[in-house]
Amino acid sequence: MSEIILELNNLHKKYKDVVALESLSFQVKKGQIFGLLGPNGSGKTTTLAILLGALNATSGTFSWYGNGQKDENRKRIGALLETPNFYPYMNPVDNLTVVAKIKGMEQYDDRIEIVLKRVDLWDRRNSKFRTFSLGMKQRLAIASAMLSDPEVLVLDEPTNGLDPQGIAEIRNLIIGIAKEGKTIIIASHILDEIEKICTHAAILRKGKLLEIGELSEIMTQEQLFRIKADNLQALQSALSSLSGVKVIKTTETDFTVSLGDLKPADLNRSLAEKGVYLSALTEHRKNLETTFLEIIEA
Amino acid sequence: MKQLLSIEYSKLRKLNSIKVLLIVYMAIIPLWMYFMGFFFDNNKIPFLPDSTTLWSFPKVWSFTTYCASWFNVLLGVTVVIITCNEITFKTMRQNVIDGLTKRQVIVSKFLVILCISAFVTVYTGLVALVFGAINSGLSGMFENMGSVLIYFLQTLGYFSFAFLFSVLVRRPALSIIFFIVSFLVETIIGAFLPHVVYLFFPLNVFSKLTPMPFFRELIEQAEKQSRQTFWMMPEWLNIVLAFVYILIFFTIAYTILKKRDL
Repeated sequence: MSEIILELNNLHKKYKDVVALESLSFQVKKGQIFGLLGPNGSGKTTTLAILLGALNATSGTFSWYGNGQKDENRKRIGALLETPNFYPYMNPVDNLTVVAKIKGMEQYDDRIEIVLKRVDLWDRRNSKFRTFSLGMKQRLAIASAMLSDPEVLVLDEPTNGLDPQGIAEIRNLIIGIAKEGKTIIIASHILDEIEKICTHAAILRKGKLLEIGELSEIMTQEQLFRIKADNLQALQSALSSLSGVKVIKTTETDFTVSLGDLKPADLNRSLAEKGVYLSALTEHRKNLETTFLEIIEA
Repeated sequence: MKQLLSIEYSKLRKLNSIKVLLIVYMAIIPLWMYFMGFFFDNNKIPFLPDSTTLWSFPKVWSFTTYCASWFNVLLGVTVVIITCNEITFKTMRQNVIDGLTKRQVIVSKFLVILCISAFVTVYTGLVALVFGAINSGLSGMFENMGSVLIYFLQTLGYFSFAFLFSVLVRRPALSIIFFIVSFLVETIIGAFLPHVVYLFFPLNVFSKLTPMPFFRELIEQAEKQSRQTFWMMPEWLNIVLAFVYILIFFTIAYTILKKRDL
């Protein structure tokens, strides 16, 4: 049983007349890359803001490192929440110096150089933050989160405002950090991002937890196959006579089917016995987006 | 506390607007003193002693702080800038996320304000010391030196007011305008109220901490001449009231910030 890094117990947050979070409870364990999913306004940022001391929960508790809600805990967390917040009139080195002092770091010059190089901003170390593009600001925020080499990274929409290349870089950066054994909590509505990175996920809607578990668990579902044949009508009638096979989706060129207990080879053989020869049989993995939409809409 | 000051120093080191405002303040005070001295000399106010006494110990202390007090609004603006910046840049929120407590974030701002007050007080005191020493030597320099401490209290008063405004309004430009307009508003309201009531208004209390030199003597003379008595607030009460207002302003600002979601 690995160490519990974060525990939420019945967290509630109410704004004037909106319930933003409703009895949210879950745990994050050491080494997990934990994705927090949900549509806009589902409470992802609210949750993280509470966990990071920027918002007060209406009720409920949380605990970092089994150490309660102490402010001290945040010094051991690297966080990026919503927008990159820095002093616009200062360059990245000076901005990170402020962060380093808050974190209580003593030697930080080398570390600042390391993280700035890692996010490719070292060449811009003398430019003021206000001259940065959105992508550069976002990268500086990630550098800032990594500055104190914390055990836990909390990243809220870390690829916001980045171009495809930047997104890929950040993703690799996160995977790299995760390999060092760090725990990462990442909120995003870009599911592709979560799917490529996370080990675990929680799905939120309107402040409620809908699903939680290992990503592979959440995505467990019937295996789907996409099949094609030269004669689609013959294929259709052959399929309807096979028990256990269900046609999920029909397009003008192919069918998406679930096989029940059958193996793909069985399907192929049965169809061949009926004189229908498949011209294509490919495994069709439902992506997280489809699963997510199913869960959200359920 | 040392850590908090070091953090604040890192933030302010590169803030040019503050440097400019402080330099303007430092340059303008001696100039303004020359102007006021010139003004007193050329508009012979009755009962006003020879203006050279203004430049000598012990009066030079209160003359300097009186002249300096004209530019406290300028310094109030620095406080507004420092405070509103943290709110609009959302760096106050970020500081908390990075690991400070909300309390530490607010206390840091108090500390900065105290430091600015201390800095300008020491500077103003030095100006008085230099002018006093040039014009009258060092004899009698300790007499009336308390004016400088009272000046410290005055800057703190204006700053606490500026701080409260920044916390309430949050936007720098708007806060600066409101801050300056509030002086006018208080004066206008004061004009419609009995003078005695107006004496208890916060900005007036702060401003009366550094009265015009010989102000009391002037009033006394006027009382003799017109055979009327004017109620003047005793200095000790003025100081106590200033303390109370400062405490109230800082407490309100603290409570608002502490309760508000960042």
